Formats: sequence, structure tokens, C-alpha cells
Amino acid sequence: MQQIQKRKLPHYFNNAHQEFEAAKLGMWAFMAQEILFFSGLFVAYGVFRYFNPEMFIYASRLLDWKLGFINTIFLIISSFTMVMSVYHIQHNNRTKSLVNLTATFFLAAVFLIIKTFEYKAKFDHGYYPGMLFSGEGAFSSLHIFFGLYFTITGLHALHIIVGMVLIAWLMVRVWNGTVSAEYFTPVEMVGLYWHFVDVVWIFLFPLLYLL
Amino acid sequence: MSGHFIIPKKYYQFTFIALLILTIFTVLISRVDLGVLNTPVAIGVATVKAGLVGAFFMGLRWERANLIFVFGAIAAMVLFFLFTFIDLAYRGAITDEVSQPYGYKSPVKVTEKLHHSSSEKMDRH
Repeated sequence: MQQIQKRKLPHYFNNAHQEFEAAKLGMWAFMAQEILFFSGLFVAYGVFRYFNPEMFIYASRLLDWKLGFINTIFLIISSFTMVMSVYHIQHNNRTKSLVNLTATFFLAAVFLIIKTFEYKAKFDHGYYPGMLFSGEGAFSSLHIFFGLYFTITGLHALHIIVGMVLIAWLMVRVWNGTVSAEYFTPVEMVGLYWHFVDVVWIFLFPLLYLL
Repeated sequence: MSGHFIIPKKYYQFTFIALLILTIFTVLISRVDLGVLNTPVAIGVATVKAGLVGAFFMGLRWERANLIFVFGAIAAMVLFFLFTFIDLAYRGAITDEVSQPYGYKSPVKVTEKLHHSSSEKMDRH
């Protein structure tokens, strides 16, 4: 671990508190946009479920709820390690913060690995998204479910990948001392993003796997 | 950062335990057939979990001005659902309903037919 770097406040801020509040305002505006972004996908899910209620029940049983459950638990643990990382950097314990960030990073990686195996199992049955679909099932509308499934979980996985890149960047910054108890804004903001990704999955798990 | 409010650790631990319990609960309750309540219960539990994450992990419990973004986005989402489902519920009430896109062929190889009469009616594209 390197020495803590003294941070120079940008000239357009009066003080560190104002800088932090400005960053948080921007982050929440972005999060509002993210809610709207995913709401389009949830509305699409609702519309198609309204038209094909029995097909959705049939299709959700084709997914492995155990893998979905394990992934939910991993994401919840990763959200907890993320807040603990924020907590420790606020108390200037950089080592513990770094350990928690590393744990978050690996939990995210495990999530993606499990997701890859899930996708692979679906592809093996010909359950591809959209026009590539070549699987069989009891309902002629089955491809609609898998189109939604791959679109929604794919965009969610993309958010996980972006989150992993951001967490890796934070690990470097905690290690090289450019974030500390004096300036932890990046850790807290990435934390907000990471919890949002967790919240999306909290809704996706019952909607896709259980109902 | 002097004067910055730091959320006590106990809130994080409480939230974490509650989320794990609720996740197990939602799986167990999904094994029981509650009829029409299946979906509301599952979404209700997910909403409580999302609320816990928002309130404590994301610190909304101690947030003031930024709540406008959260409630604004949720309100927009509710409107989105509301108007879409008003449309869906009253399709065919004024003009003839078109149940299937013209010239569309499903890529699914239909194997086993479950519940003949009801699925034919429900199973639309």
C-alpha cells in the first residue's frame, strides 16, 4: 500500500462537502435514468406475461431456480462487502476496504461464471434469443420468454461487467492512496451503482425463475 | 471529510441478514401455490428487499433532496405501467382486436400440448 495522497480540491468547489454533495446529486440523477431504462424492460415483461400467462409459468420452470437462488445470494453478499468497503474507507482502514472490494469483485465474477453456465444450458436446448430460437416446448410463444430472458439478464450482466471494471479501478485507487477517509467519493458512488444492480436482480430473480 | 455522516455498521449487518432471510422466504413461498396471490407476494417481498437496500445500503434513510430522483423515477415507472395496461385491458373494446401479427410464424417446435382448450386461448403472440 502506498502513502495517502493529499487531494487538491478543484477550484470550482467551495469545500469538500460541496464536492461530495455535487457528486451524489449527479449519481442519483444517473440512477433515476437507470430505473427508467430498466422499467422499459419490466413493462415489456408485464405485457407479454399478460398475453401469455400459462406460457410464462411453463417457461420459468425451464430455468434452474437453484442457480438463480445462488446468484441472488452472491449478489447480496457482494452488496454487503461493498458497503463494508465504504465503511472501512470512511474509518481510514484502507486494508480492510481493499479486502472488501476484492471480495466484491470476485463475487461479481462468480455471478457471471454461473450465468455463463446457465446460458450454455439454454443454448444446448436451442433456446437462443430472437430469430435464432430453435428449441422445442409446449407453447408456440415460448421464444418470447427467452427473448425477454436473454435481453433483460444480458443487460443486467453488462451492468455487472461495468461494475467490475469500476471496482477494479477503486482497488487501484485505494491501494495507491488517492482515496482515503479524506476523500472517499468514488468508493461511495460506485457503491450506489453496485446496489442498484443488486436491486434489479432482486426483482429479476422471482419474476424470471419463481413465478 | 469532516462533518460527513457515517452510517453505523449495525444498519448494514441488519440489512444483510434481513435480505438473506427474505431471499430464502421468497423461494419457500414460491413452492406453495397461493393462486392469484403468487405474483403480488413475490413482487411484494422483492419490493421490501429493494426498499431495505435503498434505505440502508444506499443511505436513502438519511437522504433528503436526492429522494426526488428516486420517487420521480418510480412515479414515471408507475405511469408507464398504468397507461400500457389501460391500453392492454381495453384492446378490442373499440376496434377489432388483431391477435397475431400478419404472416408471422413461430420458431418454436411445439411438442407436448398442455391444457388444450385454455392454452389455445391464452397462447397468443
